[in-house]
Amino acid sequence: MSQVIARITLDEWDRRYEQLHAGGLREPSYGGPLGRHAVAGDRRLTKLTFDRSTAALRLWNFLLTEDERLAGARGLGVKLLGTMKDLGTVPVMAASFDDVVAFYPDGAWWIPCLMENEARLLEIADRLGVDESFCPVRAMLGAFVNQRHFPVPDLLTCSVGATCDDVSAIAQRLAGMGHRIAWWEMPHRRRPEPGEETVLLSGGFTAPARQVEFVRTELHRILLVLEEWTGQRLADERLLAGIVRANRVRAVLGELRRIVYGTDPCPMPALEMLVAEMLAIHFCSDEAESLRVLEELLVEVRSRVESGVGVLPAGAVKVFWVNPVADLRVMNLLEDVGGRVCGTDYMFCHALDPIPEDLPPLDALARMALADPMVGPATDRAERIVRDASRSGAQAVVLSQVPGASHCGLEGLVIGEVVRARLGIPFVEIEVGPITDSIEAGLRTRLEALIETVEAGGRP
Amino acid sequence: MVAAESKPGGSRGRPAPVTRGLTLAHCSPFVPPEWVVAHGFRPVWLRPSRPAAWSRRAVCPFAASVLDAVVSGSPADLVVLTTACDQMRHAADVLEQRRAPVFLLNLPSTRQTPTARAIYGEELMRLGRLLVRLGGRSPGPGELAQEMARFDEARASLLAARGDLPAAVFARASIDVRTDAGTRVPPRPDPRVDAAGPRGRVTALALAGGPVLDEDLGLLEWVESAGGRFVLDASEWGEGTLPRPFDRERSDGWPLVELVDAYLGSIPDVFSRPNDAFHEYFRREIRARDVRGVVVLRRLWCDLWHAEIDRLRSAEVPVLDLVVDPIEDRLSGATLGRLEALLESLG
Ligand code: SF4
Ligand code: SF4
Repeated sequence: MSQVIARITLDEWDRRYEQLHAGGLREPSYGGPLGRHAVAGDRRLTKLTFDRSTAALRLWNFLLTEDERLAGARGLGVKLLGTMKDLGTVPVMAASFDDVVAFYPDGAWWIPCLMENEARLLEIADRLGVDESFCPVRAMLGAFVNQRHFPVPDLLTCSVGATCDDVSAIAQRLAGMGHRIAWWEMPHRRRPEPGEETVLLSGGFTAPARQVEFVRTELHRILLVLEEWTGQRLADERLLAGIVRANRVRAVLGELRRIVYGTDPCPMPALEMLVAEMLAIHFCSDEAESLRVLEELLVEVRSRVESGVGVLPAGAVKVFWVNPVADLRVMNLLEDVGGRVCGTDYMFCHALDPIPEDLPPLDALARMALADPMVGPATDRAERIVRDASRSGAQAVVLSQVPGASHCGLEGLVIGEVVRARLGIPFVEIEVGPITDSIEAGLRTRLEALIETVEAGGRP
Repeated sequence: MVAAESKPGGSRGRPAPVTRGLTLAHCSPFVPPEWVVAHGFRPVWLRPSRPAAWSRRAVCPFAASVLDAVVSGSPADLVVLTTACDQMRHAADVLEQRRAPVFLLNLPSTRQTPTARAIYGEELMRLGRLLVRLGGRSPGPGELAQEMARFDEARASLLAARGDLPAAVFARASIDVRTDAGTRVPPRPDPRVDAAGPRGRVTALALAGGPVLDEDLGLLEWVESAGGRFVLDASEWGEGTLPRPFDRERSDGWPLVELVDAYLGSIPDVFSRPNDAFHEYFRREIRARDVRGVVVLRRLWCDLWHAEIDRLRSAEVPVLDLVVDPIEDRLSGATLGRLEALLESLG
């Protein structure tokens, strides 16, 4: 029987940290015991269980110090760019400039969970008329108002069009409050018509060449805005170098996903993998360091696989997970009931695929942006889920609905129909809000039932 | 390719006769009826009633009722939805999945850039090609310009009569004028309109929010019978989303360019990014028409209108935000009580 490295609680981590520290643990400047983040307000950490590796410690510390990093950058005179509703396009451009840091204000999505709503961001949003009929991204509005999280960026970009109404509506509110936003259009990716010039995108999608051209033009417009804002010129070579660097992050993450999701016993918990995947979108405000964080995780995972150890018993039920969970605890829950993640679509698969390096850089970025599963027909997204889930040997699919999200109601319906019809494996939809404590028993029962169905060899 | 066929004025032969009454159903102010008619289709406005089967958590009831209407038997040869909001974009996915004859028109959110104009213009061309494939025709020389002139006149007559018409009548006529250029201006004053309300005075109001459906009209009538008078309809299907008058010279020369400019470039709608043009229009008209209060009719789960309520308040007149729940009766005691309170507070 293979050895299982059980997940540990925050208290256990802090005790382990003391021992490691006493033993001479070397850490980056943002290192330290995880418990300090809970003391500072990230109370949800006390309800989570974590991987016990130092690689995971670094990952969490990196994630949870982003606001400090941004404040430090501002202190050094670095320009801060907030890239809203942009999963991996403008951040690549921004990282190609000197003295610019891009971050993702929509990441405030997770603050109500992490701080167990202690920050009261949702209440601030409520007061501004943006209530729970919006998805948790409304916390971003609260964060802009109370200014206790990320520093207010010097400039914002926001992709609109075939993106979600929640961010579009809230971004418009921010503009109404006087924040400067450079809007750019993301057309709905449609299927090419017969005879129309077609471009193959990552993820197996196609788009009319004309749409790629539209997006390229929009990105060029944003590039000019950034050039003017920074006073720098971004020649193709610099942008290409930026793409190459982003691809290194994506390649390491790709390898990490390949090994973790494809190996039994599972060598890294779903929760840490969710955080790792997030790094590909915006590099957590430090591209070079996000690469090092992922490389260390990869080293850890390889060594576990070599020695045949995992974080779960062998044979855990393989679940393909669709959409990120607003409450991180749910990733623990899946593993508690005997499941494991074997593949994901956290709404940004395109940000995990390599960006073409053999094309003019803006063309390459345009193709990548158009490959976003969320900007095309839901049936396209469903087809990619079917392909990826089938390749990963998934035994079940879980779609976690985001409460209030403008796309979830109907999109979930389409995805469910396609997955059921094509894969013939159990499919469940659950709704996961920022704090699921009050419904945890029900969620647990549903996930348990799913696992039992698979174990009993059941059909959907 | 049929692209050239649908280029306005591009076809030099006589237009092929359309042999049967082809219909195109839609519910967007951004689907120009001129374009549809010039392609041999008759526009039909989708005004479905309450949703049943498609009501679902987080689904806008209006989008759900469109699904109901189309899935339970297509109301036309082609249904056109737009990408104006996520809900409609995904409603098109559901319809496509059910093999309903649906066309999703990519309506850019940004409006003033050359890219946005190009996207919209090319989408109209793509729609035109599909209409031809479905049995419509490519507009002959001058035909599009002719239709533009007809609809322009119809809109102008309606707007000229606007002050005389009760809100419900005007709301209906604002739809009719988007489907039929032969629409006659409805007969003049309903005696109630000029009659003062119970308090002996008429209170000028504006209407804003999502689409005003047939079942909402009773609410407008009730308000006007109680002394309110809607002098501005800035709702999704209201007068604000009618295009500006066409420039005749331009529509004779380059009708499609003029069409794109008038629709995409002049309609101040709340969904555009940024949407300052809408708020400028709203504030300007509020002042010009001496509006004293605003009633917003908003569908549950409609983020795009919902997030604007606070900004509508910056027009500095009281705003009553009514969330239209498909289950709840529009004329429920609570709703009427709130409307009454608004009217009373405005004296
Ligand atoms: S969860 Fe959906 S609605 Fe919310 S921010 Fe993300 S994409 Fe937008
Ligand atoms: S009411 Fe709002 S959500 Fe519903 S279809 Fe209209 S714009 Fe979309």
